[in-house]
Order: sequence, then C-alpha cells, then structure tokens
Amino acid sequence: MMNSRFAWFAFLALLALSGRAVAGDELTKQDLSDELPSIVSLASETELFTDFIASGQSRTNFTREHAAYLVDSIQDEMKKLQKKPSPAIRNGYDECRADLLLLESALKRISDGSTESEIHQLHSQAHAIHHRLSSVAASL
Amino acid sequence: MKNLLGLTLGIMTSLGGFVDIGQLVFTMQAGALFGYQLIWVVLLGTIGIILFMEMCGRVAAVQHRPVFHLIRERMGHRWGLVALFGANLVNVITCAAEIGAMGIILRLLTGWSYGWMLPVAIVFLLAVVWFLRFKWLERTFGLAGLLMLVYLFSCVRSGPDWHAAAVGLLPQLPHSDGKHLLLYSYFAVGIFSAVLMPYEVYFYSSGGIEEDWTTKQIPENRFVATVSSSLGGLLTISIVILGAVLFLPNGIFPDLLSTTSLAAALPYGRTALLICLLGILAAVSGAAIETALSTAYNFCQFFDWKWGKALPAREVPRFAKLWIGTFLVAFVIVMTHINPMTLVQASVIFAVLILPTTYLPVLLVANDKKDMGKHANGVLMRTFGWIFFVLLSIAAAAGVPLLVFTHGGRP
Repeated sequence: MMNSRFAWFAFLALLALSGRAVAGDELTKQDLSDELPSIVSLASETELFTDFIASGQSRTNFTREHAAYLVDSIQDEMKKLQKKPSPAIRNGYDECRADLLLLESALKRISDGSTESEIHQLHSQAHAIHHRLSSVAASL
Repeated sequence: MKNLLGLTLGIMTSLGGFVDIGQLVFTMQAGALFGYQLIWVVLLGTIGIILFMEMCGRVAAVQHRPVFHLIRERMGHRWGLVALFGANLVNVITCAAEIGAMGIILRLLTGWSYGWMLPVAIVFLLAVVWFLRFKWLERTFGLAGLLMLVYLFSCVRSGPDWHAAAVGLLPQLPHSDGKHLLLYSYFAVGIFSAVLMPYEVYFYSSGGIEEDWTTKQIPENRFVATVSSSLGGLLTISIVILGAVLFLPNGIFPDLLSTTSLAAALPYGRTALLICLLGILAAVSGAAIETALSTAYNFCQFFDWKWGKALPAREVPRFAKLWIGTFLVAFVIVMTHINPMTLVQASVIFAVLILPTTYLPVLLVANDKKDMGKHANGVLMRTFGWIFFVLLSIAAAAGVPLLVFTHGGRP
C-alpha cells in the first residue's frame, strides 16, 4: 500500500517535472507577458533616474553604482529571455530584446564625466524605450 | 526632568530602530503595486507590535524572565527546541540580509565594490558590539536610525492624496483578478511580518532584563512601546505612500535597495539622498546587531546559560561565542553573493511562521494572574491578545503558500 502510494507520488512528480521541461523549451506568450512588467519597470526607472541626474540632484557614487545595479537587473532579464520564442510572439520578443540592449548601453554610458546634454539625450532615449516597451506589453 | 529625558531618549531610540530592510523593501513595493490599499496592514502590525512589546517588557519587569525561558517553560523542551531552531534560523538569515544591505549602501556611498564592503561591514559590527556597552549600542544606532525620518518628510513633500491614504487605513480588497488578489495577500502577510519581526521583541525583552527593570518601569515600558511603535508605524506608512506616489504611476517595481533610497531623494535632492543612505546604513547595522545578540540571548535563555551584554566576555563565554558565531555565519552566507533582497524575502516570510510559537507563551504568562499578580492582562488586553494570536496564526499558515503561488511576490 505504502509502495504504491509512493509510486504514484513519484509518477506525478516526474510528470510535473517533464511538463516543466517541455514548457521550458520555448518562450510562450504567457512567459513574455510575465516578464514584461519587470522589463517596463526597468525602462521606466531608467527614465526617472536619468531625469533625477539631469536635475543635478544626484551624487557621483550613487549615480554610477545605481546605474550599475540597473545594468545587472537588465542582464538578469536578458537571461530570462534566452529561450527561443514561439512564432506568435516573435516581433514582441525581438523588440523587447533590442530595447533591453539599448537600455543597457544607455546606462553604461552614464559616467562621472557625462555632460548635461549627454544625460538629457540618455533621458530622451530611455523615455522612447519605455514608451515602446509599454506598447509591446499592451499588445500582448 | 531626568525621567522625561530618559523617556524621550527611549522613544527616539526605539523609533530609530523600528524600520529595517524588510520593512523598507516590502512596504515600498506594496505602495508601488497597490497604492494606498495596504496601509491598514501597517496599522494592524503596529497594534500587534505594541501588544507584543508591552507584554514582553511587562513580563520582564515583573518576572525577570525573558522570552525563550517562557517558551521552554510553557511549550516543553521538545517543542521549545523547534521554536528556538526556527527563531534563530530566521535571525541568521535576517542578519545576513542586513549585512548584505550594509554592503550595498556602503557601495552606493563610496563607490567601492560590494565584495570589499562586506568584510568592512563585518569587522565594524564585531568591533562595535565587542567594545560598546548595551546602552550605547542601543542609543548610537537608534539615534542614527532617526535619519530615516527623511522618508516622512519626503512623503509630505511628494504631495500624496491624503484622503486616499486615510481610506487606506481601513481594510479593503482590490477589485481585480485572482492573481492580483494572491499578490495583494502576499504583500499583506509580508508587511504584517516585517513590522512584527520577532528579533526586535527578543532584544527588547532581554534589554529590559539587562537594565534590571522592576515593576516601577511598567508605565514607562507601556509608554515607550506605544509611542515609539506608533511613530515607527507612521514612518512605515510614509514609505508605503512614497511608493504609491512616486513609483505606482510610473509602473516601477522597486526591487533594488538603491531604488528605495532614490524615493527619499526625489522630492528633496542631494542632501536627502545622503541622509537617507546614512539612515538606512544605521538602521540595517542596528538590525544586524540586534539579530546577532538576539540569537545569543535566545540560546542562553533557553538552556539557562549565563548571559548578558553588560558582562565581560570571559564571564559569559557561550553568549559571546554565539553572537560572534551568528555574525560569522551570516557573513559566510552573504559572501556567496546571494542577493540580499532574496534573503529579506526569506527572513520576512519565515519569521511569520515562527511568530505564533514565540507569541503564545508570552501571552499565556502575561494572562496568568498566578505569575503576574496585579500586573496580569486585564479583560481588554486578553481579548486583543487572543484576537491577535488568531491573526498571527492565519498569517503563519498563509505565508509560505503565498510565497510559492506568487513566485516570491513577482508582479
């Protein structure tokens, strides 16, 4: 009795694991829409952050290190998007990845020597990325 | 005059130590996701911590018995051991999270690498606990933690919707789908637990015994527990509001510690940013010290070993080894480069699991006329005490399933 219960439990656990493995092969629409709030949040925060820097209110070390933390978060998101997307979400997926790369490059350009006009430019870029990613999120 | 000064200092010290990393992260995220809707949970948690702190302080003053002595006595050795293990596991995880937070804040302040800042943090913590007396530890970090009041000022400056904030004081459910409701419940349990982090109570009660409280201190205990926790609750509410005003409209989910400090800086600028970073540093350092000392207190009180921060280490060798050991284990955990925010989540959700087991023995003793005489709980306190125990049990039962179903509170 005990053995058959254990066998059932093991079977169900294996079934669940294999289900996860099958689901893990491809990035589905659901996977992408689960990730998008975090991605849009990062774009929005970059926009807010660059605006804060542009206002001259930030501190040098904070600016550099917070930008580095945001870059780490973007790279974490990129890792989550490494799986092959299902054909139905190909466009949205490509746009997300491209925008994340642009966001990462924008944040990496923030340095101690960034001029006011450069920061304003980065802010405009972050604003445009945020807008595009929000559209992708709304379209899913 | 001296008494008034002592009371003010006691309130300021407790207020400065009220907010730790768990509260900061969970409450700001809750504001960013649900606006003002979860303010009532802060209020509920604040009432709970007042009850718990006041009872622990009163029992310490009357009986001179600390929390884990009562746990062993009321729950028996075997179940008491389970509570001891659980409570100290949460303490170590919390201590690691606070040390990780110190590393992050030092990095933001100095620009030096996180990996180098962690050893700096642990050496600093070991040195201050070794050299400073209990009273000075409490005062130094408590008073420096008052810099966190910058959140309160930034909240007022950010121009919140006060009417919506007042409505948020009443329990409410979000009008949305099942997933959203689960997330709402997860944050409700998280805030409730973060406000009630049990190490604060172990530390408070042990401190009362270290300072030789007698029944004369009962009114002072009640006053300090009520006023400081109420002001701490207000500060916590201001963090929820800041999340609601600054992050919700922009769709930002603040899961970086640096983002939570940005919230205090946005309305005021450079100086507020510096004050905020220093305030968080003081608050998380103080919390790391409290968790390490609490672990040592808990073990010594449970096994009846000699303990006391006021005594030289050679007189209380087990106590000294325990707090040093806690710091070192926490340091090893955080040196694995596990994200401190993940540790925060684990500590807050697991803390709620063990809360009923540490709360119940204190409630039973505080209710017991034989033990407490005329200082036992009256009808009102008993009623509130039991209602609160039911709430704690519900939160304890819901915490882990909600953590799993919401994938760790991901929006």
